[in-house]
Amino acid sequence: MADLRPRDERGQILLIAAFTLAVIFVALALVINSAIFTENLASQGEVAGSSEALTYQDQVRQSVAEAMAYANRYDESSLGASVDTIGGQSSSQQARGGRVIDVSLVSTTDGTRIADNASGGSAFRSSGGLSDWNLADGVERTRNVVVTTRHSDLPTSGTPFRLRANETGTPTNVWTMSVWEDSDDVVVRVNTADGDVSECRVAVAGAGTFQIDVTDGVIAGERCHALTRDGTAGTPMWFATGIPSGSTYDIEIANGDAIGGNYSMVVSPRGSWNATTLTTGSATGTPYRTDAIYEATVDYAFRTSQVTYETEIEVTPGEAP
Amino acid sequence: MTERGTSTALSYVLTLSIATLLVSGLLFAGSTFVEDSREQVIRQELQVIGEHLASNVEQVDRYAGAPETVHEASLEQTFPSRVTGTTYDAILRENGGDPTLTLRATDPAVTVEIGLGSDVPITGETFADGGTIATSCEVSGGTCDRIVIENV
Repeated sequence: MADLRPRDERGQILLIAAFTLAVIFVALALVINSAIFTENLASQGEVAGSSEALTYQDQVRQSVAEAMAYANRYDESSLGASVDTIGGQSSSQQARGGRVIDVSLVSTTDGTRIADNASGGSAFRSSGGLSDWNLADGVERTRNVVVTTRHSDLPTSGTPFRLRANETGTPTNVWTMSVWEDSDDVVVRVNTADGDVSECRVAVAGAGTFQIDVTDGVIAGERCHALTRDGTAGTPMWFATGIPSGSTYDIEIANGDAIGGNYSMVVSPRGSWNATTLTTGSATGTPYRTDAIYEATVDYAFRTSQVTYETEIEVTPGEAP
Repeated sequence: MTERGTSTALSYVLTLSIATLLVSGLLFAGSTFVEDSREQVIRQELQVIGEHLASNVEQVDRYAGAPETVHEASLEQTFPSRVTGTTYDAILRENGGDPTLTLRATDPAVTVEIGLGSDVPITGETFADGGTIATSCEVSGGTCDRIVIENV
């Protein structure tokens, strides 16, 4: 076969095809590179520090709650300084991780601590010796309702110890907790304003003291559903559920003679304690009231190069939701 | 012998045309393959960016829901400004009570939609281009009224 053209002028189509294919391969390489980058992006977690903002907020809440407990016990005016200390320590700890934290006290709500902490425990009588009596009138909020008792100090089912929250002016609208012992068990029954009844039993071994944490719904370290769930509907329920929001309530004790031990609670507003049944200051053996901080509002700011978060936290340890 | 030239010319034309056909077929298939993969990769990348952005929106919603009063809540994240050579934008819209995050690449036109929780406070429509995107709360009176996205 004869050549129609010189040999070095042949094969242009192949040459062009080769060039174009080469370009296509380069483009494919770029696309694959992008795919690898996508995989890399997908394996990255959330924005650095974004969940720490919430974790640390909870820590600050707990620390302020501890500072509040201290302030209520010893010196109410120490809370501001304690919160500043918490803020200072938090910021120097977090600065190492490139985070800025600022914690400061904004305001506090006054309340009253009502307690009877006679050593060795005593019957839950008023300072005048009444067995059925009233601790506080016109209460808006209550937190940390704790009863400390012993199995041997509990009443039987015939005369159960009762703690009531009555709507002020409408005493039929009442939340009642009854406590008694039944062989090895502690029985807690709750009657709500709308007629629901729920009951729980917790076995308490030994002769030592144990706590009934009414607002947290815990008896001797075990959860008591009767204090947290409505027996009929199964909806969340807690101390004074059923008292209409915006209304105030009175807190009463019935059959206080039948039980022995200690109790305490913090109520707000400050003037709601009952002047005739409680003594002022911590007189021994009788129920008393002291000024306490009910709620502290703390400003919390958390900042990193990517996260900006600033809120006010309301600290009310042991308050039912 | 007088017919040999004809045969040479014919076979030359045949060779050339067959070669052209094969080569153009190869090029066509190759470029379509690349184009398809590119579209697929863009879709994947938008999906990944969208999921990151949606998780930021939900995290800001958690920030707003955690305390009683919120003053400020915002998250910034840097995303690639282009995906496989094309620009894109992200749109956060109310979508009639079913909040949605939509990511759109311009060329080729690829759209990815990511659903958000219906209780996330989003009203109207906000959008941002690729790059550093801030997700933040518009706060009024201590509550987070609306979560928006914007470029910073």
